Amino acid sequence: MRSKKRSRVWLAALPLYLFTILFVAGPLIYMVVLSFMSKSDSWGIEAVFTLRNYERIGEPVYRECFVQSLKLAFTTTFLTGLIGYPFGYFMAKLSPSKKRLLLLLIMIPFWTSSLIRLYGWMIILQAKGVLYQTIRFLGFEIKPLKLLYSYPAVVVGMVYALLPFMMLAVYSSVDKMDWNLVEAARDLGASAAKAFWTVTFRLTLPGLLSGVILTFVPSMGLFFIADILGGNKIVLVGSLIQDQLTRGADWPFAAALSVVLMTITTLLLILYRRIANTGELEGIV
Amino acid sequence: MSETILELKGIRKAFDGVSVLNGIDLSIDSGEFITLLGSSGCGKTTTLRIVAGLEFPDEGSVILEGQDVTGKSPDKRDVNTVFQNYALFPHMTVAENVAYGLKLRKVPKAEQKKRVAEALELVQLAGYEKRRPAQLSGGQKQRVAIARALVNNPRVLLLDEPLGALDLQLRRQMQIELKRLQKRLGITFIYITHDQEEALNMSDRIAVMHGGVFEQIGTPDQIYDKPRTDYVAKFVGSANVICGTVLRKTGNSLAVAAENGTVFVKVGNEAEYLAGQEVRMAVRSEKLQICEADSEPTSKSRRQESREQEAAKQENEGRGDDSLKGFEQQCPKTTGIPCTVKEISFAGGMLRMAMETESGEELIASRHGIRPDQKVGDHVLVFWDPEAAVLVEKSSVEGANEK
Repeated sequence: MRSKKRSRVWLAALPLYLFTILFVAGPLIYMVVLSFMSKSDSWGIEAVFTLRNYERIGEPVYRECFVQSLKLAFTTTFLTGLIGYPFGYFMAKLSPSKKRLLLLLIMIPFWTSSLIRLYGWMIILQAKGVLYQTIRFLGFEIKPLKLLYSYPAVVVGMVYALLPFMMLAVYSSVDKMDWNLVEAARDLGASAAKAFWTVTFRLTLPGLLSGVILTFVPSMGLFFIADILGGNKIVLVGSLIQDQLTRGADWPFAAALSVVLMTITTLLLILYRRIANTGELEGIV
Repeated sequence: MSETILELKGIRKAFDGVSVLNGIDLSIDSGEFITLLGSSGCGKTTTLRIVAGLEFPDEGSVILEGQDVTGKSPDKRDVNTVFQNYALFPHMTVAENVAYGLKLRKVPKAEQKKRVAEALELVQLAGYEKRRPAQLSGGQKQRVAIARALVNNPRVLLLDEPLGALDLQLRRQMQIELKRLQKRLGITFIYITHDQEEALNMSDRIAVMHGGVFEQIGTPDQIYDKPRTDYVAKFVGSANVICGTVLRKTGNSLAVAAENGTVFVKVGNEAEYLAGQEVRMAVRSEKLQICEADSEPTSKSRRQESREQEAAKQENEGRGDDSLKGFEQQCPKTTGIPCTVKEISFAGGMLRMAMETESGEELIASRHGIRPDQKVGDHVLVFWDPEAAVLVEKSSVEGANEK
């Protein structure tokens, strides 16, 4: 009876296991294996074990690429938090009807492809684009902008793309705040700022932390933003991998790059969670 | 001891155009245990929040130790609050919670530790320092909340239904402990509750609140025995309130015609009453006396007449004689209020009987014991000892008698 029951449970979970093995574990293992193989002279892979792919990552050109990616990810995450936290905070304090409206406004851009929205940014940031026209319209005489295809443009694009995740993560945790606690802190002698710092911020930190993870992880891999808004000046690991897969046709090297990227991201997350001392992540929406 | 520590002057407050407080005046002495008693929505919590500085009045002023603190934020006032839902910081341990106020005041670490230990000792929670609020029971959380407020040595401690979430037994125990604590520390307590028993048990003075005003402020004895208004009589003493018109005054006994009967109320010798004047009497349910009516109600005019005679006769015989007290008191066959028994129930060792007068008013009688002398549908006469009744005013708040 009992074993029968257990077998049935196993049966029910089977599709899940199959899916995970086929589409998650399988490709991962394939990628790792691939990263130790050699590229054949013309096209394709040779099943010859080599560490050459990993050695190549140590070369200054590629190392620089990783450094730049990390730098961008950190900058993006920091700015997103800086803008997203206050936004999520004040949104949670609005009346329910205004909350709904703002949530809708945050969602609406998702109805359009992010690629198309990025081209929108190109139009804004162009030398004589919308931004330039607006500044001129306000009465300031300026030279045509040199914003597009620069590092700041990439940062703007990244922050734009990832901000909603941060806002929603913070919002969901501030929304659950028990404001009585802030009153208690004020009653016990805390100034408004002190009460915020010692109570509100501490209690909404899990929201900010999940926002950070939701921002940091994708920003390590969002190569198309850098490609479109940064021209070819900023090469991130993501773009590098894509290049090696397509134009370079060096699959083993692309696999090695991916393995290193994943390892770095995972290590950073583990480290971060240790510091933050929280295993619990606030889900978004 | 008797200097004034806190004064509220003409406090008014409205939320979104709905007025919650309509001119509150209150003066509280140092070391006093005062209770704001009222049902939900009467404005007691708003009053407390205004004292704490969590809410600001539209009009009026709050004077703490002679200083006007009306517009000051809560951190600038020497009062602390024990919140209804405890409001303990979930991310801090018990000790950190209690030390919170001291830390803000930059009390040296060593002294902080000592005072936290003392405060926890005071509420019998020594040894719980390292626990988190989530690991505590309701009663323990309550004690931590009290310790967290008391550790700051506030001039006034505000308690917003602090025992509301506890079960009855724990509540009784905490009532005694709180009262003892307050006496020992000599701190002024402003206590909020909707439980009249709690208020009567603990307070030096009670302010009965209703519809944003104080119906009556007085000692528990005064509130219980001499309710000023019909609302207080009903809310605090669960009294029956009966309207009637004055017939005459003989000595200190006032004869009143009410609900097709004649009843008597003891009044002051000096007090003047005119025949035909409307009065309200409050009589607590346990003071109502009941006897069997002779027969089916007869025609009103005849009955009234005979009652008048009977009443006059009784007065001549000297009513209010002590020997007549108790249940064995003789039945005033022709006076008394004719009623029909509607419902008989038992609660907490008390027999409760609901009766209806001929005009449809409900009267509640109660006494100890479980065996009723009457049954539902019986016609009875209700009367009382003149000393058991009190004349009350009509509450100035509309809808006061709906409760």
